[in-house]
Amino acid sequence: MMPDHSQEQASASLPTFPLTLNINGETRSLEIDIRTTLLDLLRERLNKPGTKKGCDHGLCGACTVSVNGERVVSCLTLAASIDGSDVLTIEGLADGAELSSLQQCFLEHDGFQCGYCTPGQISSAHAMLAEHARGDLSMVSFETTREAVLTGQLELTEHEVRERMAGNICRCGAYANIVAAVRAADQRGRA
Amino acid sequence: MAPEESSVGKEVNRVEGHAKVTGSALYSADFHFPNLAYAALVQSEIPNGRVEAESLRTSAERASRAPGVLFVLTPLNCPPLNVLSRDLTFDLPLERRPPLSDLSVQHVGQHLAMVVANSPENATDGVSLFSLEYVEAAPQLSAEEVLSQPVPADEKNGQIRHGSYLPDHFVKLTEEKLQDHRGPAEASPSTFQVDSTYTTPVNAHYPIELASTIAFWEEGKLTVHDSTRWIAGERKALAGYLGIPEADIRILSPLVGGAFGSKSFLWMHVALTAVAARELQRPVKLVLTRDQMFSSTGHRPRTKQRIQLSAFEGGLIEGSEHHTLTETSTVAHFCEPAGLSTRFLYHSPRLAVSHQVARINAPTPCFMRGPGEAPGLFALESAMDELAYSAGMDPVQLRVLNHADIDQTNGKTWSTKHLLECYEQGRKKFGWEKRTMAPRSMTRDGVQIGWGMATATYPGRRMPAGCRVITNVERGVEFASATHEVGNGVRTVMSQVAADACGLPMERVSFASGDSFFPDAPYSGASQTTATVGSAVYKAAMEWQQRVKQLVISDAASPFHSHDPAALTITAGVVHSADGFSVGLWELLRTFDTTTVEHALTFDVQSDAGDQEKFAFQSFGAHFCEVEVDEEIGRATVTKWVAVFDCGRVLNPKLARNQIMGGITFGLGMALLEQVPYDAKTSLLIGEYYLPTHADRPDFDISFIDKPDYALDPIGVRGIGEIGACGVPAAIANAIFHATGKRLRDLPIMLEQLMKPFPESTPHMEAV
Repeated sequence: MMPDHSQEQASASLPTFPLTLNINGETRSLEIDIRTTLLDLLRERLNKPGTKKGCDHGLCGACTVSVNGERVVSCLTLAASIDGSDVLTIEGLADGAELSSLQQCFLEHDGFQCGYCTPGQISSAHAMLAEHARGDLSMVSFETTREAVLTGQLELTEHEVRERMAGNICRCGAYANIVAAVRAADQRGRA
Repeated sequence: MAPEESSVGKEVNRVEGHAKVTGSALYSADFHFPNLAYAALVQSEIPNGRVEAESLRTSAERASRAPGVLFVLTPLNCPPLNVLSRDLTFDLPLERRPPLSDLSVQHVGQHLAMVVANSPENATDGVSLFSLEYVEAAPQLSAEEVLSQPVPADEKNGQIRHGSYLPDHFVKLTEEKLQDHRGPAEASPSTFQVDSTYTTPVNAHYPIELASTIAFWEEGKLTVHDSTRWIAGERKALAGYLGIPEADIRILSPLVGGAFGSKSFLWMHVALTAVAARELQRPVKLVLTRDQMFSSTGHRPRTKQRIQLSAFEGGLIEGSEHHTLTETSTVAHFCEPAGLSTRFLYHSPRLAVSHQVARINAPTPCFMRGPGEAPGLFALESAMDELAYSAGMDPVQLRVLNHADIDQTNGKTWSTKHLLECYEQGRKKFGWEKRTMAPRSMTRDGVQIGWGMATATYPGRRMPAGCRVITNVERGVEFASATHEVGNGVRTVMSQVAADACGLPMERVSFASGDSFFPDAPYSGASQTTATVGSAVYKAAMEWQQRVKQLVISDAASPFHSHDPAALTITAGVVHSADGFSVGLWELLRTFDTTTVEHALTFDVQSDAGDQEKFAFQSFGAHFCEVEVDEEIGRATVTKWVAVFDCGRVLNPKLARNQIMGGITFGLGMALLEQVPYDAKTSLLIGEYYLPTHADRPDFDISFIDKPDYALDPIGVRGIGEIGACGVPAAIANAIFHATGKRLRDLPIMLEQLMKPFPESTPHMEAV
């Protein structure tokens, strides 16, 4: 059970902020400390500890979630700054008991060891696949053809995945398996 | 057992994998309790001196008045904590001085206060209200300073010590001698020498999970959720600090988000969290910040290593010397045992190994993946490459020539050794025969290409461990041991071992870790978990099968009633009699009295360290890599990696390859990226710690000899946690030498070294 700190915080004579977010399809309204990051909000107030704190200053990517479909590092996102937004966390990716194809591929390809960066890797990959599908370019994309760059119709090569996922650190070093999982999920998505 | 009925050897997915991909996997900081309070630490900003009591007092008062702050703990109000027993501090890196026990500052990042508040934001705000003043003293910040200056007297009854010393052995392993020699003192005059000095920087484990603790008290008993990889040690240390019986402490270490050697030994912040929880009589949670991880959970200390290899013409080694200067803190012992494997890795009739440790004003170091071997093999395997070039020999050929057929430190034969096969298979897979020997002789697309190799080695270790078996007729058999799932896959491979030894399918068994209520296991380190806990699990499962056979022959209604148990076999959950009759075991057990079955099949076993007298146990491997060096921009890119390992039997190739790949990536970071960026004057952290990312790793080809070592343990394994990283920095440095002609002996190898013109004696610009 989550402790209810709202009364303690209300008595603490600091300005609070009325926040509404749609998290994994569920609308949540609450008064928050204006200093609260989206990461701490999820973990400490909303009982969603699947999103992980790895550095708390935007270096490691473990806290990656989607806000309105775009990946952000939730440790550098002040919760008050995204009032009214849709947030998708690792807890919202599976369809009930059914794993998403990305999650299934991570499991099958052993795309982790300790598993701590995994919610961030999967959340990042989830948004990255959407970026790629709509034609967003990466630095690596310019090594392909002029046609591909102009149309954004790029094959999601291993090199592309590595470049686009470089913001998610895995200290266990499961990188090759993570890339294999992301590419397999991309293939399944196209099939 | 038919292979298709066996779980061991199969590419089984991680048993906790589903939880890890859905975010439902819980780590220490993910637990919540009613009335939870949040702690944050205040740490020192100077390397040596004393914090002014008045500034502590006024800061603590200011913080106490801040919104939501519940409690402030400083040396001025901290209940006295006991000094830990010598057994814990003499040869292990636990600090001799309890936390918050005086006003002396021995390093930057020493805990000086803890602020506890009703929210993380308020705790952090409380910390920011601290403004401490110090009386500064001249710090000693390097081994060189310590060795060149007078040695100050011990302080606090030896809790704070200075100067340098020559430790005898590594941790509690008296045979792993840190000062060792054999043969004559002087090199034979008919030899030539390589004499080089190598340095390695301060490295950080950098697990992505921050060290996290939740502590609470109930009726005088302490429960701690902690991201520890040594439950039994933490319980002992907390009992020591707090002066309470170990039986009154429960440590829970659910999943651990990576450790690599950190997350044990330095539990001062855990003790303070327990103190705060006791003072407040409510649960307190502390999550270290990323910066605090550099000062409060250990690191790999700097080393300066001198290696002298002398060899006869033709490359046969006559003598090896490996002398290491390294550093620890003024409040704890640790020695990075860099020279240990030089004692036996190559044939060498003459040997001298020494380690000198200087106590400096820096945080306490500790074990980090491949302690000793990671920096030590960088030096030794680089020196071997230098020797190969001095002798004009292929680097693999030199190593084959100097292969050690026995363990020269004690004359024992190896339990098993397949290093020559590792070289041979690695050479073939890599295509080593296409290598041209001369430096700078290979290029591609305008950049220099280098191929390098190195030997990998790490001891095979095993310690005592316990295992509990709990049988539930509905669910199956749970095996439990107070080991830790740190990403090593212990829950998965122990389930595989248990399933096979019971004769059950994987679905019928589970393995639980991370609770001090389970039978003790050692720390998850030193690559010993699979051999150690695996032996206990195997013994427990064999015992379970014996007991289950007794049940099925004892029950009057059983079709196997009065059968000879030795004539029964159980495989894949089916009982077979010698005459070909088969019944599903689980269906059978359900026809028996549940209480009788569950009582008979629930028990504890204890496994010892096995007989380690007869043989020497050591794992080996060979790394081969390709590095592209773009000298115009000073960039080295590791493009291709072939590694072949001899680590006994492989229980789960999917997980084993992953762990070795991770080890190699860890070594790659050590070679090219990683150093804790301390300012040399103030010893404050400046800048960031660079780690390998998705973009930095090579393409891997990892394989195993996969021949069991049943002399070490009944499941035939030797651990694989560290060996992947060992030798990697040398393989990369050797490849860079091959690519550029530059012998780079200081890690990490960075762009300024790579951009320096070659050869260095040549003027950069030709005269016009």
